[in-house]
Formats: sequence, structure tokens, C-alpha cells
Amino acid sequence: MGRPLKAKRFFAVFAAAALALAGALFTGCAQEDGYIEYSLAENVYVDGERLPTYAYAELAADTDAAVREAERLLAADGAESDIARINAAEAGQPVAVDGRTYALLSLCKTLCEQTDGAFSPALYALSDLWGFTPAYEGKYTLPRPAPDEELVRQALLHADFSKIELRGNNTVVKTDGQTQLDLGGVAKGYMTDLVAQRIAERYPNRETEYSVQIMSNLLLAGRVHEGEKERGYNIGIYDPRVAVTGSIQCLFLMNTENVAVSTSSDEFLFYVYEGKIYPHIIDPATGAPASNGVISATVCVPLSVPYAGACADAYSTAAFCMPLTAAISFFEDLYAQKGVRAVLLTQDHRYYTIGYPAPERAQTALKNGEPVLLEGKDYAAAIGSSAAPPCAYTYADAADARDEVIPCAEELRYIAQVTELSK
Amino acid sequence: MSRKQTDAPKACERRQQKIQQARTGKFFAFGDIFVFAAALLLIVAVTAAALLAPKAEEGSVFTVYYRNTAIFSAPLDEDGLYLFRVQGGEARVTPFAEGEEYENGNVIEVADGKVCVREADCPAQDCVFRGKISAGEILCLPHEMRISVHGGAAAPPTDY
Repeated sequence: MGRPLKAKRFFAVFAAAALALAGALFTGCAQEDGYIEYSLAENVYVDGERLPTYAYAELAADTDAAVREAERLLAADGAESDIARINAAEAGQPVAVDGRTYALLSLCKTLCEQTDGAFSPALYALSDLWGFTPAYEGKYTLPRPAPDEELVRQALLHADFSKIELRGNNTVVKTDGQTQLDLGGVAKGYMTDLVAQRIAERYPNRETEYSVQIMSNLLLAGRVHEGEKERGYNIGIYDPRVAVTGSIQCLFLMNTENVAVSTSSDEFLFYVYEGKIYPHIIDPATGAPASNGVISATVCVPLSVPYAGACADAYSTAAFCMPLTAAISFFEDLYAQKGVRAVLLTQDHRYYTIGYPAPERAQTALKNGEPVLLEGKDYAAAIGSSAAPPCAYTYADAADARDEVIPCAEELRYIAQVTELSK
Repeated sequence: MSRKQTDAPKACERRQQKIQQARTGKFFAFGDIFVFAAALLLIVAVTAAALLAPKAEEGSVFTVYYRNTAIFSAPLDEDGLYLFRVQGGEARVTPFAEGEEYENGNVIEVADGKVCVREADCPAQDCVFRGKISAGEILCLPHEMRISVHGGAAAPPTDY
């Protein structure tokens, strides 16, 4: 079997928190260097006028450079990266970092606090123990027993983001030499923010409309232009159980505009051992792969929120690391405070929505142009398509959620199928 | 078989007759014609069954996309091994030979009317875990590759 390029080993861990908003997945330009897949769709509008090809090409190259720069700064295993230097530093040793790294670490402090610790960027050692760091590339899917409990307990003591101190002037100091960072749950979203910043610098005080995709993260500025008409974006949520359901998208968002969207899912970077799924997302509370019954979380953060992309990325990761009812109330609060919307899929193949109207009110909301979440048949009807993919998930009222999620028969069939393929 | 029973008493005599016929250049003994007729009928029946049977799956063609552009198509009813490979920003699909070395690639296997990614050198191997499909799609995000089976479960268009 061939070996991946050295450059691709970069950030392998960042394939974390992936999802995939399928459909027109790979539009626009994507470049060669690095692991991160970045694309800026070609239909960029400035003050309502479509950007000509040459100007788009320049913008695409410029924003791609912004992504590559960030990748070099933030990769945990890039020898010269800021994160690698922090990880290698001893306690008390000041590490000077780039302003972009410092800004992200500052934001992570806020995100940790907001999520009450459910999001943590200090879990590198635990990811390594469970075999999800780049050193295990090519072996992620191997069924394997849990690492030694004592090792996990020890690693958990050091996996504490409060031991990373931000001392101003872009200087970072660790108070515990063994604390190590892994920004896999937030960096890709942050890169979409950096792209948005770069576009704003190129077109100051202009109204810009564009869509950026970095793997499982989207940043959608403005609306879609179709000739003279305009509309919100239609986004298909990737079905995490497509292997047994057969339909690649299970739920659809309509009237989506000016938001950052991120999905985390347990079918990217995971393994199955003795009938249980172990996703790459480590729960900071237990030090083990998350197991709260969530299999996919999609979060939409309005662009009015600073660093909306990074927030969406971190929130979708955090959704895996809370008991289900806590995750739902967390998102209900976020909806009330900031207009953040979320869709959670669980192992009993139900879906919970926060910030979207219940199915019986969806048609009215759709007519009013409000953001809605639709099942395949309703979505197909709404856009006048004859294709209506079945939805294998059942709507559940958030008020009826329970922390204990019992996998349904279809879920067990999926686990059996993966077990078979892992042999 | 009934023919054998009725013929049994005369077997010796018939063998002599056959040897004689062979010597004189005649190909069939009387009665052999029924065997050949039965064999012929069987061949016709089997051929008809093969021709008239419904196609294995609705979607009989799969297409490989790179960065959302179709680069390769092949029928699902022809077993085969293919290599999808990205090199210098361009992707190609070529026949795959067992043991062939590759970089940035996915080995696509077609067998029994289904397509799957048998192996790949992407870090997470999600495409491999997708298993064998006769409808729908297989995605490989790191290689920006998508395999789509036509005629299977179609999805309405979305922006993402």
C-alpha cells in the first residue's frame, strides 16, 4: 500500500470533527500543499456584482495562502509550528507565537468557559493514547482494546487548558510541561474566519458574498445569486449511517445565510471494538472517546458572532462531550443569546433541533423565509425536485430527550457492518 | 435415467453398432440425437435466462468525480480493479494491478454488481468503511474524490 505524502501527515488529526456537507462538495479552487482541503466557491459577489474571473483567481490564491499560513502555525505535528513548539516547551518557558495563534488560544479560553469544559484544546496526549494522532495514520480503524486506565488517568491530570497561560504580547507559558495542545476541534473553523478576514481586508467597506469550505466547516457570507434572483443556501446534512441507510444526505437546511456551519460526526476517524463505536472526539470529562449517544452534530453560528467559524467548530465538537439533555440546554441557551442553531442525531436514530421550527410549523416558516430544517421529501417538494431521499431518522421533541440513548436495530446493523469491514 | 434402463439390455449390441458407424464415418447413432437435442435445449434455456433476466441493479454505471468533475465511468456488471490517483493536482483512474505501489490513491473494486473502495492511503479510511454499494455515493474527503452510482437513490441538489 502506498504511503501518503509527508505533507499530508500534517494535521491528519485535524480530519477530526469532520462531517461533510455533501452535494456540490468540491467546488472552486483547492490547492496542493498541506493536508487541509480548502475551497472558495467561484460565485463571489462584491456589492451585488459578480467578481470577474481574474479577480476571483487572485482572491482564491490570496485566501489559500491565508489557510496555508494558518496550517503551518497550528498543526500539532509540524515541527516548526507554534503548537508543536508549545507542546515541546518546558514548564515556565515562554514561547513567542504568531498573533493568529495567540488570538485562537484566547478564543479557546472563552470557548472552554462557555462549554463548561466540554470543549478543550489540551487533549493531545489523550488522543495519542487512544491512537488518533498522526503517528497512528493508517491504523485509526483497527479494532483495539482501551489503553491502560492508569495511563489515561495520568494523561487526564495534565490535559488541563488552564495550565496554558496567555501572558500578553503573544507569549504563551505552560505551568505544566506535560500539557499538550491539539486544536483539531477548532482550527478548521478558525481558518474559515481567517479567510473571511482576508476577504474583508481586500474589499474594505464593501458588501461581499461568498462561500468557503474547509473540510467539515462552511462559512456562508450573504446569499446565493441565481441570475436576477437571490435566495438563502440549501445545505444537505451528511447521513452518518449512509453505509446502512443508502441516502447520502438525511436532513436539509434551507434559508441559510450569513452563518458559519460545522458538523462533527462519529463516522470520521473512528473504530469499532466489541460492538462499541470509538470516535476521535475525546471527552475531556472522562479522557475517553465521547460516548453520550450523539452521532452527528451540526451547528450554525451567525456571522455577527466574532470568530463564528471557530465557534461553530468548537460547539459541534462539544456537543459530543455532554450528556444529551445538557447538550440540548446548552444549545437552547446559545440560541437565546446568539441565535446559534443546532441539529443533533443520536444512536437511537432520532434527531433533535434547536432554533428550528418543529416539522408541523416548518412549511409556514419556509414561506416566511425563516431558516428551516426539512426531511428529504419536504425538501424535494420545496425545491421542486422529483428525487426524495428517505430519512432514516425520526424527529424528537427536545423536551423528551433522555441522557441514556439506546442504539436502535439499524444502529446495531451499522456497527455489525463496520465490525465486518474492520476484519 | 429411463433411457439408460431401456437401453441397458442392448448396450453391448449398440456399442458395436456405434463402432461400426464411426468406422463408416457416421457421427450419430439413433438415440444420440435426443441427448444432443436435450443439450441444445438446455443451452438455449440458459442463454435465454441470462438474456431475459433483469439487470442486476438499477444503477448499472458508476462515475468517479474529482473536485466535482466526472473523470471516469464504467459499468457495474463488469468486474474490475481500478486505481484512482491524484498527482500534481490532476486525478486519473487507471486499471490497478495487485501489489502496485501508489500515493494519494484509492483502489476501487467492482464485483457482483457493486462498487467499493477496497483500500486507500487516506488517513481515516472512511471510504473503505462505506462498504460495497449498488446505489448512492462513496466519498473520500482527503482525496476530493466521489464515486456515484447512477440510477440508484438520487438526491435533490443542494448548495453543499
